[in-house]
Amino acid sequence: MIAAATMHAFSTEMLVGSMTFSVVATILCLGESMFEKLGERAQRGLDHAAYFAAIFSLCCIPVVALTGNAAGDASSSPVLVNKMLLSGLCLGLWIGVVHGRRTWGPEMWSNRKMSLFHTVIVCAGYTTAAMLGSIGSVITRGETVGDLFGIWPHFDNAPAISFGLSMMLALLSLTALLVVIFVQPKGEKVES
Amino acid sequence: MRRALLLTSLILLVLCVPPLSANPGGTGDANRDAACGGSCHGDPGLSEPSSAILAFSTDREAAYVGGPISVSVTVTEMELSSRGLVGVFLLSDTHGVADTPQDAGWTILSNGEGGATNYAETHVLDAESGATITWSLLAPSNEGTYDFYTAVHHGGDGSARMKISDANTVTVGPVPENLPQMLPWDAMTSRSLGESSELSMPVVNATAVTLEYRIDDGPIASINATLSNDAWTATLPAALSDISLSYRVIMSNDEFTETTGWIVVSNEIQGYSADIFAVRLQSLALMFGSLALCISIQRRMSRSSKKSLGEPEAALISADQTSMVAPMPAMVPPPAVTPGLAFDDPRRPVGWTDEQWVHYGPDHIKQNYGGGF
Repeated sequence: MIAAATMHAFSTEMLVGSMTFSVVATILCLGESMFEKLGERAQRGLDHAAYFAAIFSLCCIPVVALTGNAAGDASSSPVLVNKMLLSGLCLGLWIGVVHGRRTWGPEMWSNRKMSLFHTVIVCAGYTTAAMLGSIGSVITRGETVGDLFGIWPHFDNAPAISFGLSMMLALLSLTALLVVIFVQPKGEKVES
Repeated sequence: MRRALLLTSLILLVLCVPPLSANPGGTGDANRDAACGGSCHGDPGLSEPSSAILAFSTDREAAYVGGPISVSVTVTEMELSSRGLVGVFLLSDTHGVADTPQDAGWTILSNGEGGATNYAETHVLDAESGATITWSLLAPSNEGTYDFYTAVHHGGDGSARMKISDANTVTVGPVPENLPQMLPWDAMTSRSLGESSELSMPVVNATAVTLEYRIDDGPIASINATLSNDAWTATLPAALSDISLSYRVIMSNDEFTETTGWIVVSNEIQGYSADIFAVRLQSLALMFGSLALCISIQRRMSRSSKKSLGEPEAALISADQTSMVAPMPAMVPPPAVTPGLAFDDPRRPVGWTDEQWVHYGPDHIKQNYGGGF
């Protein structure tokens, strides 16, 4: 059998690779929508590449979280607790990325506000994933490339929130999500 | 030209990747076999030789079967990384499989670093003075000649490095009659701060057992153990701060006195503890919350985008608002076509359908042309 830590490293590499690809393609799409240097065909290709790479990343995130959960005991480490919290944030943001692209369609790049917002979510999701990778690096190697930036957080302390408050937070956020899904009018594809 | 420039840049980027070190933060104390050729420190393609000098010594010339012995390994003159971390092995073989002293029948009571493993990591400030790791062992149950190898893993000058010593022989002889002996025993190597520890030592052939302890290399204090239920018991005082405490057992009778090696006790400082289920709920809350925020903004932007395309406001209101509208009077049958209202009337506005003209035409004529067909 392969150790959970090995599977975790493998799935993490798959995730980070596809996510990086998606982010680069998204930023190029944004650049094209602003400066129009590459042409419509290239933009469409980049958009599809970003979209499918984002879907692949989304599939990888649960695998990474599960193998990571099996590889270490988070209850005794504030760093691993922060890793779990950031995993939830990363998954939420990345579902938002795929949802946004699916809802708006490839024509969203013709709308400046939409393309900017989409790129911001993509970058936020990627930054969260980078923080997760950075924590993993600190655990296994004792250092992270993020240290080069000087202001990179190390997450040595974790919030101490009681079970009751955690349950309330989860229910509140679930309610908010359900309200958004079932009450707010649905979004539509952008038409050219 | 541009393609060549791109290719050259990519090749340069690949070549600029710096040599990577294996685990600069170490991997922690553990029971480990000798590193094989495929490891970061053992692979000639990934590592470089070490200039370390390994010195092996024991506290006695030979051990008795099951008897205590202390083995010290001193490492000096090694290259050092910026962290100064050095990992030292005590091995019974160098095959890469089943190489630990335990595999050869030895019992490790202490590795001198607060554990009972054959691999221990320590920080070295100065390569000249190096580092010394002392293992406290109990000999195997079979007489014979046993080989010990020592090895060191460290970094330095950007490369992983390793060195393995030659074999060092230790003889395990027969037990003299009436020799005080420690039976197989799990020595206490860690405990919580502020807690005293009652040690129960399975010693045979002894008329007196003394527990000696010291802080760092300070003066030695001793406690007499008492015999109860075939075991000698003594209480090691509590440590009130994170000190380096070590102890050893002295077993004696009229003929012999046997002493174990120093066993180092590490302090378990009150660790972090979290309710993992609560953390999972918090993670879910973050996921749901961030997703709700994203979808909400996306839907709102989608609507405002439609609005900017010129779609009538009323079409954007999807919720049922009929309750806000006053009840309409009963439906009145549409008026018959007013006689005299011709479809080709020149006063008919451009773009009006026949139906619009029939319904609104009379009013239009009345308002703009003063009535009359």
